[in-house]
This record gives sequence, C-alpha cells and structure tokens, in this order.
Amino acid sequence: MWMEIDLQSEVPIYTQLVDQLIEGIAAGHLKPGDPLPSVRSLAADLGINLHTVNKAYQILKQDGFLQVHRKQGVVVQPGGMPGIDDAFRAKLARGLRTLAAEAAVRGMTEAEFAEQSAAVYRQLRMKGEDAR
Amino acid sequence: MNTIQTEWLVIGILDLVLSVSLIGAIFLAPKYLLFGLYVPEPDRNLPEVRRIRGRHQGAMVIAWVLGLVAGAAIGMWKGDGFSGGKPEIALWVALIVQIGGLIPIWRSGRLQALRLKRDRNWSAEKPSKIVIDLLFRQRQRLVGNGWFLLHLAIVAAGATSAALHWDVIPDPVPTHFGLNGEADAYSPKGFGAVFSLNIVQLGIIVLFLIINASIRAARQKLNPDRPEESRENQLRFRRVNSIFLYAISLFVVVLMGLGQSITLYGWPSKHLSPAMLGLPALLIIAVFGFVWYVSKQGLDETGGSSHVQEDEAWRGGGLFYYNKADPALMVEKRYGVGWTINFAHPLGIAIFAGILLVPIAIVILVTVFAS
Repeated sequence: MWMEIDLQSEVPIYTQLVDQLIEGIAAGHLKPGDPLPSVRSLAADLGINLHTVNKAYQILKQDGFLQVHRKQGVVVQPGGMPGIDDAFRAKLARGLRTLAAEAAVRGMTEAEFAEQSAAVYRQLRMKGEDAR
Repeated sequence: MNTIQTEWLVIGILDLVLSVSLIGAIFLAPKYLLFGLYVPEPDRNLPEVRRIRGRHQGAMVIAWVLGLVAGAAIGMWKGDGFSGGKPEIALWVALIVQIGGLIPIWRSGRLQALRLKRDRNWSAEKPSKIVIDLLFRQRQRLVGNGWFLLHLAIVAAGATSAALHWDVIPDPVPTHFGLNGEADAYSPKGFGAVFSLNIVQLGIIVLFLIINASIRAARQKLNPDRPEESRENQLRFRRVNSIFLYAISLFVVVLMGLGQSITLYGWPSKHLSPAMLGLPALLIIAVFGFVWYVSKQGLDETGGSSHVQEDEAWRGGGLFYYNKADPALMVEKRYGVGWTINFAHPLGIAIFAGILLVPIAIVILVTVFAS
C-alpha cells in the first residue's frame, strides 16, 4: 500500500498518516491482522520525527483501529473494527457541518451534496470489493 | 623473473589499481556535488564550478602520477632491472606522496567550494512530498540467514579435518608464504597456528551477517514521481546486493579453507600460490563488475532524501553522516553504491564499532591463540 505525505500541506503530518491508514483499511489494502511497520521503521522511511508516527499510531490505537503488541508490534485490529457510536456520530456531524456550510454558500443543492458524499462512500467501498 | 622482480610487479600493480580506482572515483563523482557540497541544478555548469573541479582533479592526477614515478624511481635506482631493492619501501614512499598530495588538494578544493556556496547561497531543494510503500519490508527478498549455514559447514569441515589429521600436520606449521609461493615464516604447532584461519572465517561470517541485516534495515527511498518503477529498482538492487555479498563471503571462506589446507597438509603451494594471488584479484574485478552492472541497470538511483542532501549533515569533509533530524539508522549514500550509517542514531556508533571491532577481535584472538 502506498503512503503519500505532503510536506507543504496545512494538514499536520500525523493527521495525514491517520487518514491514509484508515482509508487503507476501508479500501481493503490493509486487512485485519496485517502487520504494520514499527514506529522507528516508518519514521525512518518517511524521514520524519518518531513522535509524529507514534502520535498517529496512538490515535488509531485509542480509536480501536490498531493493536500495539509488545512482541508482535503494530497490527491492524484483528478482532472486529470499532462500531458506530455517539462520539463518531458527533465527529461526523462536525466534519460534515463545515463542508455543508461551504457547499450551501456556494449554492450547491441538498441533493447534489448528498449525491457527492454517497459517491465518495461508494468509491471507497468499491475499492474494498476489488481488493477482496 | 626472480622473486624480487615478481614482488615489484605485484606491488606496482597494487598501487596502479589503487590509483586508478581513486582517480576514477574522483572523476565519476556526480555533478550535484562539489567537494562534498550540494550544487543546485542551475549552477552545476557554472564556469567557477567547472574551474574548481577541473583544477583540483588535474592536481590530484599529478600527485598520483608523481607517487607512482617516485616508487618506480626507487626501483630503478640501482639499475639492475628491479631485481633488487625493497619494493615495500617504494610502495610506502609512493603512498605517502600520493595521499600526502591528496589531502591538501582536497582541502583547497573544499575551501573554494565553501566560498562559492556562501556567495551563491547554495542549499538543497526540499521535496514537496514523500511516497513510500507500507509493505516494502515484506516485499524484500534477501538472502536468508539460514544460507550462512553453508559457510559454517565449511568451517566445521576444515576444523574437524584438522583435528582428525593432527598427526599429519607438520611442526612447525608454515604460516606465511612469499609471493613466489614458498613458506617463509613458521609457528610452533598448536591450537592457534592450526585453527587461526577458522577463527578468521567465523569473524567473516559474523561481519557478513551484520551487513546483510543492515541492507534489510536500510530505509526505502522512492521517487515520488514514479514510485512503482523506483520501488522495483530498489527491491532488485537490494536482492542483487545481498546475493553478491553472500557469494563474496562464501568465496572468502572457501579461499581461507584452501589456505588452511595448504599450510596444514602441505598441498603443493607452488601451484596453488598463483591461484591464491589470482583469486583476490578476481574478487576486486567482481566488485568493479558489480558496481558497473548496478549503475548500468540504473538500480541504485542517485540523489537521496532531502535529509541526506544537506551539507551540514555530512561531517569529516563529507565522509560521515550525522543528522539528528533523520530518524533512520541506515541511509542511502549521497553518491556511490549502497548505504551508510547515521552516526546521530543511538545505534549508529555501536554498529560502526561492531564493524570495526570484528576484524580487530579476529586479530587479537588469533594472536592470543597463536602465542
């Protein structure tokens, strides 16, 4: 699975890492139980600080997408991904709110906005089907 | 040809090979570096840059030729066509002239390059993105450590055979052979004299295991514009590198086994000594061939990550990589083939000491056992 870090982006590097790893899981490039590189090795390959990679892994671990073992290292959650809880619904609403606001200001209809988000969702799932 | 003449010939060739490879390395140095400083693309053909490079390259060639001439002059001093004299001393004189000339020339080139860097504000370009393959390490197909059991088997066979044929081994044991193939130094028969080569073999196996592990750990560096192609190149390069080093280590272990048999069982050294001289030469040719193959196939892509291109990260005139901001232990070299150690990494010094200590440990062990 490819990972691409944009060094000039305003999005912090650890957020880019988190987003890409979740997308990798959603698209089926990373399957439950797959091993991920160690913090040290990933930091070395990307040429970025150890703490940045560690932060990304910790966030994903807290949310339940990864497991960090002392011996086996970092693996993609093998025992079922975290479900949809209130915290996630709130986070989703927050993210959508910003985008919906800008779409509304720019004059996008509700139908088009809904169609766009459905298309993005479908695209990800389709990639996942292909990978399986 | 008498013994001394052969010695002159061998030493002459040795210095010539040294000179040609060093001068070759200077001339083949990439355009983006000037005496260990990074030159940005638009400045690479600047007349000043060309002048600094040309002038110092010329001076280096002159120093190396002068050294060779000095060495040859010592040989011809007596006018007996190289059949007398001391070839070793001539080699030392040649090397002192050559290396002694190289250092000030390099320093002067470095100073001028530094001045130009300041005037023109040179600095390495920062990349805007980094691309890696998350599963790169799983894709690596290097020679497994298990293959080194073959080396161990050879060592075990040599040592067992020596133990079983203890009575056949002469006392004293010949331990050094002149260039003409005749033994010229002996040691009293004992554990050290008989098994020292086995200890050296074991040390070499450890050394190559460390090197193989360091290839496995070296960071991936992919070209973000064409990641797939550069990933395939790197995977192939690592595999070829690992196989090549494995072959070399096997070759050296076998060579030493052969050496042990010659000293212990009186195998005809007269016929084998040309082989003992020829085989190391083959080794050098193999290394050159490997470097040529790698560069022809474009396997080792030049230009490293932005960390590696920073002049400040290179110390000791560009010899040692020391970069606290770079978390990698093994990093791609700035130019040339392969990888180098990041001395700012907590393990950097330890690994370097390990690589340095293995040969020293071998020498100490051998002397302890031999006495």
